[in-house]
Amino acid sequence: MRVTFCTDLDKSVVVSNCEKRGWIQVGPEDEWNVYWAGTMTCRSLFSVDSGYRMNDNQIINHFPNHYEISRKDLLVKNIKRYRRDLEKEGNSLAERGDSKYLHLDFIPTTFVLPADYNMFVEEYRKAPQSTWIMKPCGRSQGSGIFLINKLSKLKRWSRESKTPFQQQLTRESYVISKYIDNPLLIGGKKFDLRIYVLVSSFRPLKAYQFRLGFCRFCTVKYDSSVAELDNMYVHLTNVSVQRHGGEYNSLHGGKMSIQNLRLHLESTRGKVVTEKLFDQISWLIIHSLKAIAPVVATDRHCFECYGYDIIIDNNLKPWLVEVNASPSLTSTTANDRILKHKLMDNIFSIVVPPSGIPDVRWNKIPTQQALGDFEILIDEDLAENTENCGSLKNGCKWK
Amino acid sequence: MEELKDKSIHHTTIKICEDLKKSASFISLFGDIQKLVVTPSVKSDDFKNTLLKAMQENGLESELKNSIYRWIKTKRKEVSPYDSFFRKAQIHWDKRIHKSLNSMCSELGISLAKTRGTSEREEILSKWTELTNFEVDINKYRPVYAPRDFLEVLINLRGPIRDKSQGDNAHWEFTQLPLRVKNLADLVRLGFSPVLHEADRLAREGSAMYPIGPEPILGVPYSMGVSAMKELLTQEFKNSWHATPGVRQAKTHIEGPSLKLTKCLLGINRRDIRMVTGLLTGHCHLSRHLQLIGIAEDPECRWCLEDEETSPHVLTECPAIARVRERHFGSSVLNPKDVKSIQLRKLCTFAKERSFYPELSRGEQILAANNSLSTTQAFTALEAERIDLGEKILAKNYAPLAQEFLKKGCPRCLRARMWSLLLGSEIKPQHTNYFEMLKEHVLQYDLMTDKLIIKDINLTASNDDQYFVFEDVLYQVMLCFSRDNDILKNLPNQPAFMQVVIKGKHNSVEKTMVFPPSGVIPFHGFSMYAAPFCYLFDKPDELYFVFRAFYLRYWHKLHRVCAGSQGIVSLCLLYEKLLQCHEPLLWNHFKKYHIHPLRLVIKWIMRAFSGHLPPEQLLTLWDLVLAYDSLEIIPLLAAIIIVFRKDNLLKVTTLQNIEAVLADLSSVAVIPLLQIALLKET
Repeated sequence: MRVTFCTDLDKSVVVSNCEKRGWIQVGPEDEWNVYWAGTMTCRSLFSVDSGYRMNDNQIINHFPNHYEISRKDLLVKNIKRYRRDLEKEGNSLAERGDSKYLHLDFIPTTFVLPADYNMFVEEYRKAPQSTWIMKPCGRSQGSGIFLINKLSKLKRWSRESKTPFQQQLTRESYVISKYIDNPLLIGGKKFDLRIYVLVSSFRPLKAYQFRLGFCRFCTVKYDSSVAELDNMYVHLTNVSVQRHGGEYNSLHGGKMSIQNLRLHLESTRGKVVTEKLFDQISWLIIHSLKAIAPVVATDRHCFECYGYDIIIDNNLKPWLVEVNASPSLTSTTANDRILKHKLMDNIFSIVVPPSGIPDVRWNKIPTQQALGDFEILIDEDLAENTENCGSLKNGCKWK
Repeated sequence: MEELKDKSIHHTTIKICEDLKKSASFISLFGDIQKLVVTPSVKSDDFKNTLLKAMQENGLESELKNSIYRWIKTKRKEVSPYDSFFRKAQIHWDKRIHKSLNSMCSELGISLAKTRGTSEREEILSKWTELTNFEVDINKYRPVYAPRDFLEVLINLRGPIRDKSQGDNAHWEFTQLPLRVKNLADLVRLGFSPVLHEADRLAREGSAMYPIGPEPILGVPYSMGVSAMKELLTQEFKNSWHATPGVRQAKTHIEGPSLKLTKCLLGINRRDIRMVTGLLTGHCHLSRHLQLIGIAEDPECRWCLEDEETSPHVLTECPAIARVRERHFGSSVLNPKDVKSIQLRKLCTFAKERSFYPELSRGEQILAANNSLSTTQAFTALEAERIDLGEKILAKNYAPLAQEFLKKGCPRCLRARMWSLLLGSEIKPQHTNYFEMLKEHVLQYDLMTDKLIIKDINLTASNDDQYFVFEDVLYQVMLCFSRDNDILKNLPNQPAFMQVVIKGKHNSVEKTMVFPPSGVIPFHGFSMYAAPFCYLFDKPDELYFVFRAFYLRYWHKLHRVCAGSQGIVSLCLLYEKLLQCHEPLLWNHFKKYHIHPLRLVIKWIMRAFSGHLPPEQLLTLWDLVLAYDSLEIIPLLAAIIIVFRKDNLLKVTTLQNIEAVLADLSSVAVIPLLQIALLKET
C-alpha cells in the first residue's frame, strides 16, 4: 500500500518531508492518508453537513475544536475552570496562598472584554497606573494589539471603535491582561520563547515537547517608560511585527536558540534556577493541556502541533502568553529551516506507527528512536503502566 | 651549589616582589594587609607569625599565591634563535597595516584621531548601553585585513635558513621554517611530568652519594679490603634504606641503593628521570597521590575503577592496562618484585603511553554537554559531582587548582568564576574605575579605529544568530579595549605603534597620542575574540577584564607573527604536520588541486574557532586552552575536523566546494573528537 498525503499549505517543509518518506501527494478529493490541513479545512471536514467519514488509515493535523486552546479568551476560560475544578476537588495542586494559586499561577491576570469589564475595573483599581495589554481574541501575529495604562484610554478606545464604519470590529471581543513589565532582558532586549508541543491524543493525554525551540528578540532596546508605550517594536516579539522595523536582520531574524539561552542563563544565573525555570515551563504546558483536555472533541484521527509563546520575567518565572494551533512553518533563516524540517520529520515519526502506514487503531506509543528531538512530556498510558510495573522508566516525569 | 641555588631563589624573590609591587592588584592587596595588621589577631611581639596566620585565615595568603602563580605564567618565555627574524616579519607587517590605515584615512579625508564635540559626546553617553543606535556612517570603511591576508603573510615568510633547492613547491607548505613542533605522540605524552621535587632530589642524591665506611683493617690484601668495604657499604646502605620510615612504594619497586640504577637514571634525560622516579616512588600524577596532596577527590583507579590508583597497582595489577603492560614488560600481570628488574627504558616507554592531554587521551569521563540538552542520569550525576568539587575549589580561591579542575570539564554554572579565578580577573573597585576611565577616553576622542570596530561588529556579531543579542555589550567592550594602554605595555613583544597628532586639540599640552592606545589594530573578525564571553557575563566590566586577560595570555599570539611554540606560525605548522603525517591521502588530494590546506582552517585558528563552533562547544574548547595552558589544542582540533570530513573532502576538487563541506560546524562536539584522536594514539 502506498501512503498518500494531502496539504493545503504549499510549504516546502511539509511537502519535502512527506516526499522523503515516499508518500505521494494527492488532492483533497482523492484518497489521502495524511492531511496537513489549515484550520478552516479541518473544521469543515469535521462539520456535520460535510458528511465526510474518515477510515482507519487516515490522520489529520488538527483537532476539530482546537480553538479551545488557541483562542485567547477560551484558553483563559478553560484554565480558570480547570483551577476551580481542582479547587473544588480539594486537590493540593490548586492550593492558594495570598489569594493567588501557588502552583497554577502561570497566566497573567486576564479578563475578556467587554464581558468582564466590571471585574477588570475592580482589578485595575487595586493597582492604578499599571500597564495592561489588549489583544483581539481571534487574531494572530500581533495584529490589533496595544498597551494601555489609563482607564480613560480604554474608554476612548471603546467609543472610537463604535464609530459606524468600524461596526464590524465592535463585535470582536478582546482580552485584557496584566502586562508583564519586568521581562527578563538579554543584551537589554525583550524576548519570548517559542516552544513546540505535539499532542497525539487528549484522552489519554499524550504530549511531547520539542527540545529545539527559539527565542524571538525585539530589535529595539526594552524601555518600560510611558513614552514608549505605543512603540510596538519595543514590546511585541512577533516576527511578523519586528520584520517591519528598520533594525530587522534577515540573517538571524532576531532568533536565538533555546540551547544558547540556557547556556547563558546557567552561566550567569546558575544551574538551580535555570533548571527550575525549564521545569516550570514543562509544568505549565502540561497543565494548560490538562485544562482543555475535557472540552476537546477527541478524535483518534487527529494530532496537533502547538506553538507555545512564553515570556520569562526577571525573577525567572515563565508566563504563558498564548498558544498557536498552526504555528508558522515559514522559515525566515537558514537555522529556522533546519529546525522546522526536523520538527516536521519528528512529528511524522511520532504519529505514524512503526509500520509506516497511518493507523488509528495503533496504541500511539512511539519507540524511543521515533521521538527524535521530542521528549515525552506526559503519556497517561505509560504513566498508568509504570504505576503497575513499578518501574519509572519512560514514564511521566512531571507527575 | 646550594649557595648558588639560594642566590637564584633570592633573585627570583626580589624580582617577584618588584613586579608585584608594580601590578594593579597590589594596592588593594597591600591595603587589605594593612587593615589586617591593625586587627587584634596580629600581635606586635610575634609580628611575622601572627600576620602570616591571620593572612592564611583571611584568604590573603591564597591571594598572594595566586598572584605569584599568574606572574610565573606571564614570565614563561621561550627563546628561539629565530626570534629576530620573526620579529622583523611582524614589524614589516605592522608597517603595512599602518600604511593602509593611513591611506584609508586620506582617501576618506579624515584624521586618525580627533576630539569629539560636546554634542557627539553627549549622544554617545546617553546611548552608551545601546550603541547600535549611535549612527555613524561606516559604509566606506572596510576591515584593514582579514584572516586570508594574514595567511598570505605567513605563507610568504621565507625562512631564516634559505633552501635553494626548492622549486615550484616553494609556495606549497611552510615546513621550510625551522621551528620544531610537537607530533601527535608528543601531544599524547608528557604524562607524569609536574612537581616531583622529592623524587628529583632522590635522583640527584643517588648520583652524588659519597661512600662512607669503617676503617680498613691492616694485614689483609688490598683487593680483599676493597671488596669487603664495598660489601659492607652496600649492606649498610641497604639497611638504612629499609630502615627509612615510609617510602612504601619505592621500597617495593627499588632493590635498594645501587650504583647501576643511579647510572642508568643519569643516562636518560631529566624529564624521563622524573617520570620514572615518579612511577617507582608513587609520587606522580596518580589519583592516590593526588588525593593525598588534596587535588583529587577520589583515590580510585581511573582505568579500572576497582582499586586505589597507586604505582604498584598501575605497574603490576590494574586489569584495564594489562595489554599495555604485556606490550612493554612481556607479561600482563607482574609480581611486585618483578618491577625491580624491569629496565628503566621500558618503564619510560610504558609511562609515556600516558599523555600530554592525559585526561583526554585516557578517554575518561569529561563533563561536556552535548548539542542536545543531555539529561541522562549519568550526566546529571557527574555534573553534580563536578559542581560540588568546583565549589570547593572556588572557596579555596586557589588558581592552580582551578586550572587542574578545568581539565576534566567545567559545569556551565561555574565557568565564569573559574575563569576569573584562574586569570586573576575578579572584579574589584579599581577595575570598575579603570573601565570608567576607558569609557571616558572613548567619549573624549574620536579614533579612526572606532569605526573599524563598529564595522567589524556589524559584519560579524550582528549577523550571527548566536551573538546578535549581545551586540550592544560588544560595542562597549571593544571600544574600551582599543583605549587600554595596559595592553600595549603588557604584550610580550610590543607591537609597532603610531604616534599621532590629535586634531582639534591645539591649546592643550598633550597633542599627540599613541594610536590606538592599545596598539592593537582590529582585523576582520577581531570582535569574535570577545563575543563568546557574553555568554558568561552580564556586566560589561566583568566581561572586559576576563577578555583582556585572555587576550594578553593567548589571543594576541594568533594574529601576530612570532616564533614561540604557541605562536600562530608554529600552530599552523603543527596543523600541517598532523595532516601530512596522519592523512597523506588527503594531503596529496589538496596538493593535486593546489588548495593550500591552511587556507581551509586559517580563519578557525586565527579566531580560535569563535564564530564557527557553537558557543557551548567553543567554551569547552577554551576551557581546555586554559587547563593545559596551551593553544596547540586548536590546530589539533582543526586537523581532526578535516580528517573526520575526509570522505566528503575527497569527493570535491575546488576550493569553493571544499569550503562548503567545512562550512557548518554546528554538529561538532569538541571533547569526543579530541578523545577519539588522542585515544587512537595511545
